[in-house]
Amino acid sequence: MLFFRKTESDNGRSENYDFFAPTGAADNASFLLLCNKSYNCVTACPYEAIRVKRTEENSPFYGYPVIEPRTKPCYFCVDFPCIKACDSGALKEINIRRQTRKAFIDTNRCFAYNEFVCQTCFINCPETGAIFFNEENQPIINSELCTGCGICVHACLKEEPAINIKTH
Amino acid sequence: MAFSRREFIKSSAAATAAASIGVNLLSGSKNNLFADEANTWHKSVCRFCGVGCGVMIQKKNGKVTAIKGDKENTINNGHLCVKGFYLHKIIQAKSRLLHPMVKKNGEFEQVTWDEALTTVANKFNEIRKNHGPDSLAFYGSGQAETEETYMANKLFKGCIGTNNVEGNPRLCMASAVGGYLTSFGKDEPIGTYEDIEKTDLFLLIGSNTAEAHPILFERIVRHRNKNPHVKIIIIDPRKTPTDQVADLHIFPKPGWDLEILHAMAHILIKEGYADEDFVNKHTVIKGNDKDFTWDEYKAFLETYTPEKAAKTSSVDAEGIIKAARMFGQAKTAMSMWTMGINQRVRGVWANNLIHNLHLITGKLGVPGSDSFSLTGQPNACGGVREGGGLCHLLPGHRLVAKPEHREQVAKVWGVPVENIQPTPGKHTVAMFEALNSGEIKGLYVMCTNPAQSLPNASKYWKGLKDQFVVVAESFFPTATTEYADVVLPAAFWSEKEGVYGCTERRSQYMEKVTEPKEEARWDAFILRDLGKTMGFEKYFEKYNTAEDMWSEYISLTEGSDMDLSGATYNRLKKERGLVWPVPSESHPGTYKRFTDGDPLYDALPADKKAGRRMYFYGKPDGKAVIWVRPAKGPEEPTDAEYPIALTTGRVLEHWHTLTMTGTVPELNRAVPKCYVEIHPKDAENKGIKNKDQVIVETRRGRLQLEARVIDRPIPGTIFIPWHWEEWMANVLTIDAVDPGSKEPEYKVCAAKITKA
Repeated sequence: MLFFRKTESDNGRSENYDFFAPTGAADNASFLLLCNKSYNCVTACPYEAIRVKRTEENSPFYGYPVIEPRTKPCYFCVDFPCIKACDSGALKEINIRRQTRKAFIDTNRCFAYNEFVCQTCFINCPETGAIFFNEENQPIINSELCTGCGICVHACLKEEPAINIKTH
Repeated sequence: MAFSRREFIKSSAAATAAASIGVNLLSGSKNNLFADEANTWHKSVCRFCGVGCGVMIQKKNGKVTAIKGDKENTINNGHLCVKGFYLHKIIQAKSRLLHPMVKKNGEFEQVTWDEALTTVANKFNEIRKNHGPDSLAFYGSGQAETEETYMANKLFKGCIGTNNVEGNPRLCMASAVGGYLTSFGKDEPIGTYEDIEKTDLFLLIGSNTAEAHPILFERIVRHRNKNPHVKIIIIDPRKTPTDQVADLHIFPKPGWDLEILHAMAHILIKEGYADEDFVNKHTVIKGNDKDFTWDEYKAFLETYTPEKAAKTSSVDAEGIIKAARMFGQAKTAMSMWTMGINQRVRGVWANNLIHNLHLITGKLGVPGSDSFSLTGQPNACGGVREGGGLCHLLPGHRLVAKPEHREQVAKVWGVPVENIQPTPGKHTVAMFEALNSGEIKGLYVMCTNPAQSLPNASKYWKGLKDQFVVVAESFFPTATTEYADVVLPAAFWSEKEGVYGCTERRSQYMEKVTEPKEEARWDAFILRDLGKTMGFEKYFEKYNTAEDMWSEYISLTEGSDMDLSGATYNRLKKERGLVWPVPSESHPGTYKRFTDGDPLYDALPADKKAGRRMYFYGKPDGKAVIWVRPAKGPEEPTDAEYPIALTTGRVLEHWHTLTMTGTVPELNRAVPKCYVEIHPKDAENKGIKNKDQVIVETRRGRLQLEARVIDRPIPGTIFIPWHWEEWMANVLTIDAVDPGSKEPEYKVCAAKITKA
């Protein structure tokens, strides 16, 4: 499971947003096992999307490089400088096709499922067809096409995103 | 949450309580599950586009705390787009202008209202005395309430005595006005939004409905999903989010679609889709310099074959033929367009050619058939087109050039008729040119941001800098306040009452929910008080409330084609807007004009109506005009030096110059900065990669921004959203105007793009 969610804080809202391991990680266990915390991928990421996790000391990811899509999503560079920079084998290009993280919509909170007209995730999604609309004009994720990049999470117009990246 | 919001509402008996709970759920908060009794909900209209969605404003502890859709409103049935949802955040924005300020030694200093108004009044009086009334000008807005524009009109046209009264609808709607007037004789659409649910075919041309008018798009999609036989044709040089529903998309080169419309008419007539009976009884055919017969018109169209049109606009001839057949075969058809048609040097002609399709097939005046122009601003129709906020107009679709119109208006205003000049003032672009040359020395800007929104904007900064400029605004700073000598804090939406008139001729009342923040004042009162300070006390004494102004205004519409005399405040406060003509308080409003049910049509003598189903009472013999307009391309076609066509537009999350939506963190997060969309083929040729910094250059300016390589624009075209002051797309656009409507050609100019 590559997906973690912080427990909701005292005021009833979750303060920290969801995160996932950098693109190219096979799965949670092997990523944590293989990553040598060289932070080469953090340095290499041109978007500064890969960051070192410095919150939640109890999280197994504490101190490891992660992507927090609400802050910066993965833009899927053509040449994957993060993977090229990785010398531990934690990130491999071959894993990209295998990874199972996908976007999921929280229909309780999504604008489009609650009588507002909103297409922001659809408009921002770089993968044609990964998000489409049903008859009620509500977005639906096509898991076959979704790359789990998190751009939709970043763009979501809710104060707290109504769309999140999870693993199957 | 164990239940979805819909289930909860279903299970809840108290509808009102459920609605407010719904909003609390929406904001993701758990604690306020149960409605606070102190909440009150107030009826209003969305502040953004011209669709005119009804909203309910939640007030709690003297503050606006939430916005939701008004379920009783027929336009949006409780739905809203995301811009509307965050309106309450805009009211509390840190960038609100709260005190009047006067520029002293190049710095703004806070002053009292008295001092600010006296400064403006003295300066305006001095300019008027030394240089004549025509050296003063007013530049208003399609976002101002009808009452505000009405006050400005009276002050400038009726008291100061200049017709230099313009507004930003000149930049957005003027060509549609020209199109309606020349084709049908009276401004504004024949039908209403009701046609959306009745039509069999939509022709969307030059409109990104999904992003610019989301609620109408939603209605279109809903109607199509329920009725699979409904077809949607899109003619647009860019693949927009609207495309997800297209049955047929024609991608013409920007600015070359007039020939496509002619070619469609060609096919419609050639293949027998024309309704010759309707044409004979209801229309005349006119060219720019002579009248045409039906056969001559057919001969003219012979030269516009789909193949030729396909070649000039670089599309597929098959597509044009298919579009024409779909249009002809559909029982009813509804055309919709926005800026892609209006903001062109041949905007009026393009409008005429769309009307032609409806006239030759008789797809007009029946439920489901209409030639329907969409408005960009909430009150461009209501305040400026109807209220007469342009240099050649007077309230109630009147013209300054007509002596009887001037007399009627002067009588109601209580001003000497000689005060109203018989010649039209300067249109927007000419006005700002005159400001540059010093011919105009004093300008009052209300509720708009011309320093950013004018075409070829940088050219006009000189005039704004040199001359005396007063800006009445709710936000500070904007691109325009930078050049202002005096800034006046204006009350924002929900802090004032008034009327907005939307695209479908519907006038809707907006309640005042809270007091204006700090020292902000209602624009209409600022203008009234300015008038008083300038020495026109007796003309402005009678206006103490918004209702005083509205009642006087609707008395001016009595008996006209846009009769609002039945739309009193009393009634508007209760109802969800009224569609004019509404001649009496018991009249329900009019669905279709020029036909049965229109009070003006019904009042016509029987012999005029004999044998026909429509009577265009704005035209001689009640006959609409099929215009024979030769096709023409853009003012600045692409060439070897500037090989790529630049077009500008909007995104869903933002609105105009960002003074409002730029203050909402959630909207900024979704679209934080400007970009230029470029087709992958063009990008490859230029060696541009996604997210590269590029320089876009036209003959007027250059701009560095981020490239977005995406297959949305067609090859040979780039697209820039125009919202940001930092990346001001309007330093690139061309200020050539349509000779008829004087609307600038924002939508097409030649550019080149290089890697930075």
